[in-house]
Amino acid sequence: MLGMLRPRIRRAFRLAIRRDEWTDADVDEELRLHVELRVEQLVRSGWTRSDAEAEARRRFGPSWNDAVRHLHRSGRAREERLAMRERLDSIWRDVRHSARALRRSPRFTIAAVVTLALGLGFTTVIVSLVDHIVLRPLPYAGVERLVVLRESFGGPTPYPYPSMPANASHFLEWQRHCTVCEGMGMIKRAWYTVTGDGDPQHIGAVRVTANLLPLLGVRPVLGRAFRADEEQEGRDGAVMISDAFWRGQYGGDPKVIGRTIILNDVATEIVGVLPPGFSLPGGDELGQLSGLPNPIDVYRPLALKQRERITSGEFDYVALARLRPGATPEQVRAQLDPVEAEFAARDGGATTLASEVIPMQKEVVGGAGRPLLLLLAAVGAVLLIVCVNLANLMLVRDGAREHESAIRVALGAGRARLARMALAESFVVALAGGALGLLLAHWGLRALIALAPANLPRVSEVRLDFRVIAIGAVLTVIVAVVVGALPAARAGGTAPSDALRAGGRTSTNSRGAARRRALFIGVQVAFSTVLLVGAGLFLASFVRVMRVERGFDTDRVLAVDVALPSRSYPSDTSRSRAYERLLAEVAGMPGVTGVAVASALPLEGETWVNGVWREEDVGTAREHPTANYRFVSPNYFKVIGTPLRTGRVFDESDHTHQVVVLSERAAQALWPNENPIGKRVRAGGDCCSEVIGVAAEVRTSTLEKEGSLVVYLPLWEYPPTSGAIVVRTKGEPGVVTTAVRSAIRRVDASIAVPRVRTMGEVVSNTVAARRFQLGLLALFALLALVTASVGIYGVIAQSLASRTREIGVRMALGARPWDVHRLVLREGLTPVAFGLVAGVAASVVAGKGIQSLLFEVQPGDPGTILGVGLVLAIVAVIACVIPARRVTTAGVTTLLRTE
Amino acid sequence: MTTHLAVVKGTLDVLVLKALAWGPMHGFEVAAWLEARSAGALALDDSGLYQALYRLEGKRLIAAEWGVTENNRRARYYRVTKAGRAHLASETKTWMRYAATVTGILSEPHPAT
Repeated sequence: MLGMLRPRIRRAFRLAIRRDEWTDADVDEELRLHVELRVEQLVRSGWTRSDAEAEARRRFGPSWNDAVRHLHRSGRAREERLAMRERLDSIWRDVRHSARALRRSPRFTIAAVVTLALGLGFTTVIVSLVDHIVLRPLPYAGVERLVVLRESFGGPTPYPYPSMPANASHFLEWQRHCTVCEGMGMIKRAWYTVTGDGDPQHIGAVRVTANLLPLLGVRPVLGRAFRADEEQEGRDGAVMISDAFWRGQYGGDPKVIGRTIILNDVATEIVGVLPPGFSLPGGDELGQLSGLPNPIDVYRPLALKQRERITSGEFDYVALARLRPGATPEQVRAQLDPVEAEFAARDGGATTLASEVIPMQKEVVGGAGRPLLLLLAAVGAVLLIVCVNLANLMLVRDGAREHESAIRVALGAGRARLARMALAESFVVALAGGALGLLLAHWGLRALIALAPANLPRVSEVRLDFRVIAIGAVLTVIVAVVVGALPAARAGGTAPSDALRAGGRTSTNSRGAARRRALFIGVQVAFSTVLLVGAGLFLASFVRVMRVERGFDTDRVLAVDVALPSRSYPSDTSRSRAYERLLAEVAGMPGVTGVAVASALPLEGETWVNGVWREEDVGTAREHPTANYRFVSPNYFKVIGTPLRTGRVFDESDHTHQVVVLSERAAQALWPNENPIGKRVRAGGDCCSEVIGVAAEVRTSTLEKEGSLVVYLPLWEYPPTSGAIVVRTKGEPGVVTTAVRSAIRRVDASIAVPRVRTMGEVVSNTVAARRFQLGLLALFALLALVTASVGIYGVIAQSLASRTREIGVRMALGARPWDVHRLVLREGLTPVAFGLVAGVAASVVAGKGIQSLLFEVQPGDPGTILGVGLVLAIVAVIACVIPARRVTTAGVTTLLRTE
Repeated sequence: MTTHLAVVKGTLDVLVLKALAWGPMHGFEVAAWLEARSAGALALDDSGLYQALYRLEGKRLIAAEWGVTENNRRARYYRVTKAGRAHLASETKTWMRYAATVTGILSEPHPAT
């Protein structure tokens, strides 16, 4: 058996270059013997010696030299193959050895695998978010040449929206001037009530120029695309439907082409079905105020009315262009700006107009990039803490096994072999953690997509695909190397004699080890601090956003969206009467204490923006303050809880003359420090309405920012085709939902009620993105805190374990438990303090990068930093005291007896 | 002298394994054993034999070590490994079935004309 080992050992010690020579020599010797024996055999059977020698060689083939060369090659191939197999074998042996070793210490193994799985899993999840949302090109052919065209205003008074979607008449002019554009298309939002089969349905739609979908490189999978002549009024009755709508509404019936669909009481024909996965970016993803529906179920040709072709007031069209190859957005701007200047001059020249040409990818991803990159950094920090922690745990294990290693070294095991064993262990742990992490990522990503705010762009594209899994795998290998590097480098580094003499406690006692422990604690604490401060700042921002004076109540207020079908309610009077009937019906429901109608809810955006000026003012709308116009029923202020500052609200007597209620800032802007009641304003140009009241400020679009000035007009001035019924309830608002729905159905079953929400939910929706970021960041910070505290605990426990006897002696000599605690706390808390200081400094610097995501909190917020410091200090003290207590309560004799 | 039968491709490896199944041998002993068993009917090429030995060793179906012959000459001795034994058994079974089938078909008498 020992004999069999020899060639293997020889192979192992041979250098690769020398190996070939040795092999050749072996082959030569083997062949020499063969020839000798063959000659002897032949001579015995009567051959002459010289004939026999020739024959022996001849039996190797026509050319002896060729045969030898050939066999040398085969021999070398054999050795190479064997060497490789041995390498694989020894790796496998190492893996099995470490797996056995890990099984023997299940607590360490579980802790290591679970923390790694969490770290790697969360990292994979965030990587896939960043990858799919930020990095990957939008799913349109040649997206790098697609740009969004918008218009920006400048002038003497600041505009609430300096950047707007395009104006149709401007767009038509651009089309004639932009020679670097291959094509240009427009999109206008539309909402339709679908009637015909079943309950009326309120769906999102867009009207698009015939060339828009081809511009994006999209072709219908069924039916045909739009024809250019369908952009004319009267011929625009063709629609294409989305894949989701096709499947949901028509069960994926291939014979859907040619079927009639009734949209807002107009019969249209389905001419095409769009491919699965295709969608236009919904919401404001194509720029502020673009407000496209999400999802978009129906696409219909955009037939511009003559009025739209000439008016310059409506900036309501999302314009896209495809650049010619090689053209730049700057070139487009250079071609469009002269057109813009001409339009501005035609409007009197008080305002300036300029074009904005934004690459589509940038516009869509825009604001989402920064928060996601922040989350990526956060999860990266968590992974780093996990790695540092794990490296330390590995070293501790190694320390405990130093005796064993020293024996191995003394018995002749190479340093390389010990290093390989250490690496094998970290690979086994990392691979297990990586596999479990992948599973976590799979679930985590699904949960995250479900929880993601609706305005997170492209979230439907996010999935755990091969590319992300590959990134996760690479990360796993990196982690394995990082974690294993230190123990591997140290493996066999100690002289065996020292290790053996000291009974296996050298490195854990040495000065170097103490420094290393301090460094590990410091690094973990520093990164945890940064994460905790980040999470703290987000939390503080969130709390402050929620505490903003929003100007309405959320308790016991229900918002019911309604849309009146235009055929049944074609006129203002008919709509006005419909609202009156709805109000009366809903008010009669039990549990309802008040009900009102508004054209738009607070926080849901400003849909109607126009100039407002005093009776005596002259000039066009753009030279005067802009205001957001809202149409409300008299009861509205009381029902939604917006306090009236002065004057009165609308009442029935106001039907005879025009009246308005202003927001506080609107009143202040028009009549600074004067009583506005009784003054007259031109609302949208009409002369003139009497100001009868001033209402408190209301957040119109977001909680974070003040909106435009607000002008409230009575509902009867312009009863909207769709609006919201606001209901104040006696008890829990959810309870009356069904009653309200049935009340509306009693008035008219064809009125669509897309959704019923509490005002609390409306508020909650506007902070969804903030809550999402805060939730993830808090989760990562918590993970960091737990990992770091376990790390501190581990380090202290390890340090104490190596000094048990020393402490026993101290206590035998009269040291009290408190003295031991003080000793431990000093060792543990010094690096914690350093880490804390470094972390705070780093977080103040790094905070600059997230300032735009915060609300009324500065990156260096003392309260947050103090809080984080306190939390970390408490956790660190606990992590130190637990192992210390275990030692001090063990009893002196036990301590002294410990080996 | 009878016409030599060319060794069917792949069978040399099995033959070598079979030879070594009797006990460790060096290269010449394997050659001599095969020549004796085939009574010279097989066209054995000594170069091919060593190729086979190296190939089998690379696959770890046989293992080699240096030893000495009875006459105290250094020789590389080969022996069958556990994997080699299993390989030999399965190859033998396959070969037997194959040969029996082919033999059965070929020994069918010609149809009467």
